[in-house]
Amino acid sequence: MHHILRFFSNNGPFFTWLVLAIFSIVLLGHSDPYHRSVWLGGANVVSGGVSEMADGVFGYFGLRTANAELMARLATVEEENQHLRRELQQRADVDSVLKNPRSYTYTVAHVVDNSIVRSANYLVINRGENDSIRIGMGVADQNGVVGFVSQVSGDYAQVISVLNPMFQLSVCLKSSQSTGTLVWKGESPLYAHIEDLPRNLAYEIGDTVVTSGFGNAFPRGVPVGRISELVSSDNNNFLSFKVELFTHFDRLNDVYVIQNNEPCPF
Amino acid sequence: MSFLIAAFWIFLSLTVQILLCNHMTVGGGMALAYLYMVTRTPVEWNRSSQILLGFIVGFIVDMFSNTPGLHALTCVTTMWLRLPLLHVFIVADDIKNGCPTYHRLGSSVYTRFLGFVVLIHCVLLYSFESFTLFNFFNLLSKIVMSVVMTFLLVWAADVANNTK
Repeated sequence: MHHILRFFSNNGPFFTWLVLAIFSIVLLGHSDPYHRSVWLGGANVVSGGVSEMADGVFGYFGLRTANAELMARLATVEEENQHLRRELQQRADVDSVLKNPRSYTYTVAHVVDNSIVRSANYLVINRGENDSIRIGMGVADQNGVVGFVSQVSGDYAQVISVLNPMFQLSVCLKSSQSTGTLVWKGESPLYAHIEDLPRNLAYEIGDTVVTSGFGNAFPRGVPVGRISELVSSDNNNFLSFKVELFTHFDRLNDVYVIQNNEPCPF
Repeated sequence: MSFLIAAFWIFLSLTVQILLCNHMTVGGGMALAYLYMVTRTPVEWNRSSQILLGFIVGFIVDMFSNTPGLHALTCVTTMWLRLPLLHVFIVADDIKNGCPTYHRLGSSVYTRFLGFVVLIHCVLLYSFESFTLFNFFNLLSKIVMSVVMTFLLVWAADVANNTK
């Protein structure tokens, strides 16, 4: 017994390192965002609050660009809205149609913390359970898709960014409507990949990629990016392309959290 | 170094890390300001306490970086390797107490010691983070940029801070 105690006391630093390293590895091992506790992530009151405070100081940088992007998006949406109203007027009573319950509700949230250089990136927004934000909701900004809500606390939510290998989204090409899967492979924050596109269809560099509407998080047609180059694929039946993302992850300011009001068919 | 002074430097390096360095990246790498406290911990402190301090610093960085366990594991390991590494460059009897600083060790020894600590820390951090060499050049770029930025930041802070 005396020898055992002496062994432990002589090797105290090693055992301290071992215990703390094992504890850290256990935390690291539970990196699946759906199983990670809120208090460990950036969505808890302390880290969310500090990030929000820091954002109050640094968040004003890049607002000029964000404002220009918002105005451009507003012009497009206004144009589309006028066109749809005119089309609708020829077919039905516009006011009664507009009173129908909306399929999707958009909640505006502010990004208080964001990472783009890690192997698995997340962002934190200042809306949480108290604002009816739930796990699995889609998040987009004026330019395109941003990610999915992965954790929610009272006032904050953590979002798995598109720049995260765990993020997968069903997308389609605007021109051909063929669907594939959007994934990120840890390269540049400017690019992702679209995989599993059928080889028998024609694709062109510059084709626009939008959400397919499969799954409940995003409606069909939310912009994602444009095809920039063909990437060699292991599978002979499918093609893979590099996609230039529309969303500027390095200067995210405000985003929409998208709530699907239609009941899930499954 | 008293506990209060150590607590002040821990708070300052963590604040710089969380509010500034976490948001400033060059070539995929970022400066790791908290390493200033990891390298500067007094050598006479109980070694297990030093490792525990490394864990606390890493754990706090993890909480604000959405990387549970990653910085904690790396800091604990760096802190464990720190003293043996220091004794590679300087005889143990020459530094029995105090902080291993630029003014204490001298330019040559301090630069080599800091360089190795930063290199080991960054290699461990980004290797644990990626768990794979799939994007080897991306990983290499992150490590090189982080090593350069962290070294310059910690070296400049230590040269400017003229307390032994």
